[in-house]
Amino acid sequence: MSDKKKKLPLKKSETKKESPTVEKSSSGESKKPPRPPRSKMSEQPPEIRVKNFDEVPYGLTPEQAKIEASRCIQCKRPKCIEGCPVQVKIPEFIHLIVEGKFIEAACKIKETNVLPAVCGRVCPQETQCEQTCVLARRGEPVAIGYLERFCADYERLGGHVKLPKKAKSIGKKVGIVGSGPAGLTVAGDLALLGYDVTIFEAFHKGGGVLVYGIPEFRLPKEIVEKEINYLERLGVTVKYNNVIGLYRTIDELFKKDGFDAIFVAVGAGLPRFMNMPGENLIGVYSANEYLTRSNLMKAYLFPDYNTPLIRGKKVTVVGGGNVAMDCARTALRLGSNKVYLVYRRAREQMPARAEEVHHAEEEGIDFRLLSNPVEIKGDEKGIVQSIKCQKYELGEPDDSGRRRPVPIEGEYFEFDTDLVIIAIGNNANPLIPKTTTDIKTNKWGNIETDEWGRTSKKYVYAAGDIVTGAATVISAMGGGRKAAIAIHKDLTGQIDPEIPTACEMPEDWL
Amino acid sequence: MSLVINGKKIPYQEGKTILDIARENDIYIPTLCAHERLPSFGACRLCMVKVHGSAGFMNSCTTQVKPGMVITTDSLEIKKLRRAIFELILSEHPSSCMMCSQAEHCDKFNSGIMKAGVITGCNTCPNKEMCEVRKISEDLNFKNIRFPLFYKNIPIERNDPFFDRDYNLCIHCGRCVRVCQDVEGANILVFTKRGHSTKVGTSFEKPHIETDCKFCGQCIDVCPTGALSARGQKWYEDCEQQVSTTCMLCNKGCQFQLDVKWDRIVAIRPDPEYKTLETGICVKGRFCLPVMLNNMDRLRFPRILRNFKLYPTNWDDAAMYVAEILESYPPSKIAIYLTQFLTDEAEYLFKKFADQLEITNVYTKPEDLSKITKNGIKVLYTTEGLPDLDKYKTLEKIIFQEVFPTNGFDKAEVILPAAAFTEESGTITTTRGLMHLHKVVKAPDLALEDWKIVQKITQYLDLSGFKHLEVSEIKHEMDRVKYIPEIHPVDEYYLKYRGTKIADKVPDFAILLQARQGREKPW
Amino acid sequence: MYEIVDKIEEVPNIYRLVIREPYIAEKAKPGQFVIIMPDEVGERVPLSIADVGKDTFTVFVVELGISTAKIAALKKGDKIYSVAGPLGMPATIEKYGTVVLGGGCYGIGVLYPIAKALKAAGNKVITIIEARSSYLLYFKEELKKVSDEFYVTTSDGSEGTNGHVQVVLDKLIKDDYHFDHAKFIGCTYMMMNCSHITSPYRIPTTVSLNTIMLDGTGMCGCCRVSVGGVTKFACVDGPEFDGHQVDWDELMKRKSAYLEEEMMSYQTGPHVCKALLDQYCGECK
Repeated sequence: MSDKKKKLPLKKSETKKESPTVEKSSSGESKKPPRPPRSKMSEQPPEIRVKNFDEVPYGLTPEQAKIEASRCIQCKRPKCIEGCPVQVKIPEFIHLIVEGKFIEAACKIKETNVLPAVCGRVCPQETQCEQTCVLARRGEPVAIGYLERFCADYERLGGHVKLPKKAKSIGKKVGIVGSGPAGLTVAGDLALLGYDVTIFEAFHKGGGVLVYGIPEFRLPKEIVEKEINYLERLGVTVKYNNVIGLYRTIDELFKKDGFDAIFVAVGAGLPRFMNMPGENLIGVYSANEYLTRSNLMKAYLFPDYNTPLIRGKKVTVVGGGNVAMDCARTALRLGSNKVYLVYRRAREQMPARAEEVHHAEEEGIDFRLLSNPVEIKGDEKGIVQSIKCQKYELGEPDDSGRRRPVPIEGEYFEFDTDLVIIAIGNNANPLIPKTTTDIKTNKWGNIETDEWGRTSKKYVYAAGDIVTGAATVISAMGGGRKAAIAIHKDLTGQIDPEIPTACEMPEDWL
Repeated sequence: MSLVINGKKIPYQEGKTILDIARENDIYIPTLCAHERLPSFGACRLCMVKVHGSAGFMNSCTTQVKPGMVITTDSLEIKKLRRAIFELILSEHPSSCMMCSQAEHCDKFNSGIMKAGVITGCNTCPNKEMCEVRKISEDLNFKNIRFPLFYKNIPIERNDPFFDRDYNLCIHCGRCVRVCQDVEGANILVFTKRGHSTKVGTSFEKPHIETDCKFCGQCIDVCPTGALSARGQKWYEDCEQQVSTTCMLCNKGCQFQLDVKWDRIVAIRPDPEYKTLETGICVKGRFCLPVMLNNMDRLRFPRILRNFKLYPTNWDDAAMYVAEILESYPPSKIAIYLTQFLTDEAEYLFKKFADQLEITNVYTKPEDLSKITKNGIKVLYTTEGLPDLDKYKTLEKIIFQEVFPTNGFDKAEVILPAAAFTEESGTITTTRGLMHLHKVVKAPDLALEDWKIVQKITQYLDLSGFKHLEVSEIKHEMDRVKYIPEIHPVDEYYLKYRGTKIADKVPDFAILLQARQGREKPW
Repeated sequence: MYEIVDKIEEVPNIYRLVIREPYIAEKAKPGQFVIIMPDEVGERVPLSIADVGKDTFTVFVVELGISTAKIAALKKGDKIYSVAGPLGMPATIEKYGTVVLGGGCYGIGVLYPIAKALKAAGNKVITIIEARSSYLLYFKEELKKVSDEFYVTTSDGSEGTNGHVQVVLDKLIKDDYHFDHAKFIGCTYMMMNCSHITSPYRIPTTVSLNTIMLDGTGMCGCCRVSVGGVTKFACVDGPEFDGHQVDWDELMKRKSAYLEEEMMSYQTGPHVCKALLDQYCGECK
């Protein structure tokens, strides 16, 4: 059986490229031209971009994209694909860019990654494909993220989006709870295989964390809308304001609405608070609330959009992940004079994406590292006035290998603030397990699944943050890809012949 | 010759009423229907006083003083009378909140703006802070009404653009009728029906939009209760600042006063210090201007075309880029279009700029645009959005300096955000003569005054004489060289501000124009 | 899109909206609420469900701010942009014995399904309603049908007792009425006062809190309220809570978080005018 599709062997002519070891030659003897340095992405200057919600990077021009793509040495055993959670066919799409075939390059990415415009902007490439890139060992890796973003934008702005071939309908219905990255990936995969797919979204707009969590200046919402339109053109039905668990339970979907399988991708939406005194004062927000108001309800356009949002002048953000960066940079753009970021570990241990931390520093955010708040103080009207923090130092490493932060006795400091955002992480959304008691969860509320996404309830699958806890967009997509394979196998006994080879499949499946 | 009021001797003045004299001498008499700009009426009867020697009581607002009059404005009897009159007025005006025992606590605890569509109590009335009825109720220490309470249940009139009229709150003081008939001369508002059914309204109960109502808003200014209000301007309680400036939406140069709160214009009325009070201001200035200027799609950042998209950047980049464009084309192929809405100083500076760069194609009228094709113009620097710019095939680069992203915005090479006229100081030449503009609010984000933008561009070209620090220096220079600006031919029915149609930004105005389509004049 | 089947102005400023949505009508229980967005730029407004029909449900809207103004401006046959529900925990309905219910302004209408359910569960129901003035009282006949005793109060004395719910409540307790349970729905100030009256007599009291809400499914924490010293979310743990444990002071303060913004938002009135005038312009064309 040749179900495992091998990569297309590269044609002979394509391998005749610059030899891999040529660098800026000092000897002057090499006859080949020196490799160009990694493209520098031009961006909005910091003092301008803190006042608007336009995207920070301007994007590559076609000429720049071709030059950057020509840096790729088209390795025989590409390491970049190993670093990608969904195994995008990186060298192939980069080669198409060199040839100027930008639309085809976008299609090539879409064979494995349904949302290239999103991933090009939010993936932490520096810990994924660009880390494993061979060029990274002795210099700068190929700017794979910039290239992915370039061809996705080229395709979208030029209006050339092509629909891939769809299998004909196989008469099976699959319901997807949640329209975040995991849900959209599964919807795309199954729609192409001929399933009748319906997505149930609790909000009035689709995209999950892509629309309420990531701000406009990192991911323009029109991109998310276009992606959902693309899925609708593939035949997927998207239903809004369907809070599964309250509006309709999963059992009702099976028994009354005739669904054959349900995929749960509701994400980690429960905000975590620190339970310190003063947390219920006016002006203390959870990161979820702050970002949902700003991104989903577009409170940055207040009062044209009616949802209000307090615009503090001295803002404090507690946390060090991508969410904390987003909150801090949104607060700057909403007119604050000073934004403090309070995080209990050190700079190197911040889990946020490197480019976001870098942008945040450029924009003037004051990092108060190795500190943690202990109390928030307010006035008699109940409005936040100041925050008191304790200093920390790094002690012994904990289980994850990071050095554990230890509070320093008696070392406190306090400063004035009029808006505090708690961005220390989220726990799993409890609604589905609460209303579907035969789905087992672990002690933290995450749904327990096998490595293919099967839960303890038959024909119910799960992936994304609800299973792993809060993680990245691309890992949710990877989990969704696997769950789609499992759904297809369980409902039809077949394996999709197009799946990438890097997915390790058990022998009895082949 | 003198009078005696409450035992005090006061000099007589001919032609004045008792109320005028009392007010001049700080003697308190409560009134609701009297107003200094309007002829006296004697409707509410609250101002009754005792004139010794006459039977009964007389209205102090309609009674002229005579020498030797002895007047008492306050006695037990007068107090009882006032109270009874006020109770009668309040029995048909939603008054529960004025009498409720929990009134102060309710205020403290009921958070939320509590400003309702249909008003059933002071707590939800947008006029609460300014209400004259409430003020009198506090002065008279009012706590209960002996008469049966009656809510008229008249349907609220919300079917006109700009206004809301809730005649359930009307106390029949007649101020609106008087201002409409005697001051404006429009005769739209009258007392309709009779007796207990008397109601202020238009003839045949037509909506205002079907009458000849000018939407001047004078009735709203004089109403003592919340019965007549401007829908988009009544919610802000009290303002932070009040600034007067000149309107530039046409060349009449009306003076108006603007309320500022939250760094934006919240309400506009005729300047009480100036003659426009008699003629009022028009619907464009009063109602459309705040909505238009607070619109979110104002241009805020300079932008340069990069990679098929206009990305924001800072002034140095943008000015340098404009300078590069102007240097790389011969002056005969460059044209500058000056909008009619420039201040005199900005117009002068532009002309000086064009002079020094030897650009002769300075256009000021839409008809001039046909010369673009004739002269093969390649670069157009426009200060007004112009329609159909793609029919001029010779144009290669457009420099767009405007307040809103209107026609031509998407074809521009460089966007320069300009400040609106309420955000700058300067002078303008109007049919009333030379008028001054005063800065009311700051322009949003990086938008700059037109003359400052020109100045920034000159920093990157080798030009001299553009180092003015303030707009008054430009005015002095203009006076020295005897530059006389012309009155711009923008009449009061002009429907655009620079390149933007006012109706596009203000939906109520679009409705007004549509409804008055067949008429000779829209208002 | 969700269609409005009927819209009636019950009393000045309070509107009854009947909306067609079969699944919500099927699943809604007394005490639950929906979150409505009138149009794409509107806010998410929580409204208690007052009644359910075959495939419709009813809400009462008080027009107090721009979002409720937009909802109140909709007409029969219009479509609402977004309706999400039923959200929140249902009201606890049991056989308590004698139950006293108190309702004010929009609470009068929302009290109806709860009174009906309590009566059907075999309780003796005593209902007290309040309004500013006699012309603001509604649903009197419907409530009389499901109550054993019915009292009315007004702030200006134009009908019934002069005063508020707590005045009648106090009097009934002092007249030796024995209440096994109390439920109050209305503005926060009224619920607080009534809870303070029942507290010394240890009458178990539940109140239906109307905090500011954003998503309604427990993911933002906007609606958090301290009950017995523990922070709870009104949208998933409530909206019913024990009235004696609620930290009323904190709740009052949290509800006033957006006063300035609400005023600012109401100033950009054009949206409201257009909605009201669409009909007019249709006629004058």
